[in-house]
Amino acid sequence: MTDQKAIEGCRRHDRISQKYLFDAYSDGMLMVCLRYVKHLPDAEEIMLNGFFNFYKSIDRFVYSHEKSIAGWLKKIMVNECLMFLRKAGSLKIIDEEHALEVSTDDGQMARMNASEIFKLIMALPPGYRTVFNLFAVEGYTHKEIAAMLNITEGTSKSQLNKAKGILQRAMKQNETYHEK
Amino acid sequence: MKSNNADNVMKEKLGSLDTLSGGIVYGKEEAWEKLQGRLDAKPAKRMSLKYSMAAALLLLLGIAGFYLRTTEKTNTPVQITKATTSQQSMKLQTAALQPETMVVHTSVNNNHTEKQKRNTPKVPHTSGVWDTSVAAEPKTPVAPVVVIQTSPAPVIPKPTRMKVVHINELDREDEQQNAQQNIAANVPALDVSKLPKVHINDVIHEEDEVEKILRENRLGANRQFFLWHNNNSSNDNSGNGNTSEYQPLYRQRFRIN
Repeated sequence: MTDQKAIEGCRRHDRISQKYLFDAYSDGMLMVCLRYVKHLPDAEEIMLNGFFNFYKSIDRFVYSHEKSIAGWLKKIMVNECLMFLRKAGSLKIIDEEHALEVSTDDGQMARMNASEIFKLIMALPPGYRTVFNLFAVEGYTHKEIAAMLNITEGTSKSQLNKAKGILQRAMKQNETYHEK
Repeated sequence: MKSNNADNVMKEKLGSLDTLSGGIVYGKEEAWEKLQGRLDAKPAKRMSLKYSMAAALLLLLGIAGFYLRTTEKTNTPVQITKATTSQQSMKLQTAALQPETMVVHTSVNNNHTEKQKRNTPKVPHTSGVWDTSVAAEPKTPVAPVVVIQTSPAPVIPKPTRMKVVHINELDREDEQQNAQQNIAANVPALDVSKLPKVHINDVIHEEDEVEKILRENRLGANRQFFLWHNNNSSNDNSGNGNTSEYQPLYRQRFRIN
């Protein structure tokens, strides 16, 4: 079964097709949710909600290429995560207009594997983590992030820079630990 | 520029993180069962458009009905302002029956304020003409005015207690004659045969007995007419040679004693 056929099957409410897509994308989507929400049970619940909404809104989805399903699903998951964080009150970010520029070392980043970066991101405070995920991983602009989180662009930039600073320090510590 | 490169590196690395990284374990099959349960669950039934429209229509009709009813009540005068002579006589009659009858006149203001009603019985509007002038000019704001007319208390003649006297006590002859004429005219003729027959020995207190008979037969003044005993038919123990055909019973008895 291909993704395209699975999508067609999902439109007919075919349970096998739905299962196929779930098996193919659930792990990746759980990782996306975990990047925003620390706790696994919460992330799992959000991931299930996301898939439920995906199956319900499948008629609006247009299959254009291989990565379109992952992109569509990721958008749904991110929205679900933001909704969850808003409800939990984790997105109360105080406005900070002055963003300090933090220089990042590409070499450091290159030396770390994805799993290590993922762990560092999960250790960030919720506000920093959310802005960092939206900007650095999902690719939203500061304007978009400001609109999504109901903050100013300056605050978004400030949050991102602070997140980067924390990550930088964590990477250095991680490097020295490995060197030892 | 440097920063952008770092972001791109991070994006690539995290983008490749489609599979679960080490240490993260979750029940995929259980999660699927859960999701399947949600997908199978029927959505909560919503009230169909038809039903909701019908309910809304009913609600509107109810509100309109209630509004019309209240406005009708406020526009209706309670009592006719000018009463005709026949109504006045009717009022008097009802007043005679219920001495505290009050007639309530009300005027209506624009705000449909609730009228004040007294707990008096309504005078029937049988021959009355409604005072529509009140309802015809609703635009001038008039404060509610309640005029209460109390009818004069009915004069019920009290029965005057008259002194009961024996006809013999009347001093003048003309009074006695008038009394006798009244008795003859008003007191029905006595049918002696219908009177209870009692043996004279059974009469212990003749005066009481006589009074009782009089009371029972509603005979007040004519005791002389029936308390006669036929002396001829009975033994006259008195021996006084009374020749009259009838003697008053009590006299006879009195004489015996």
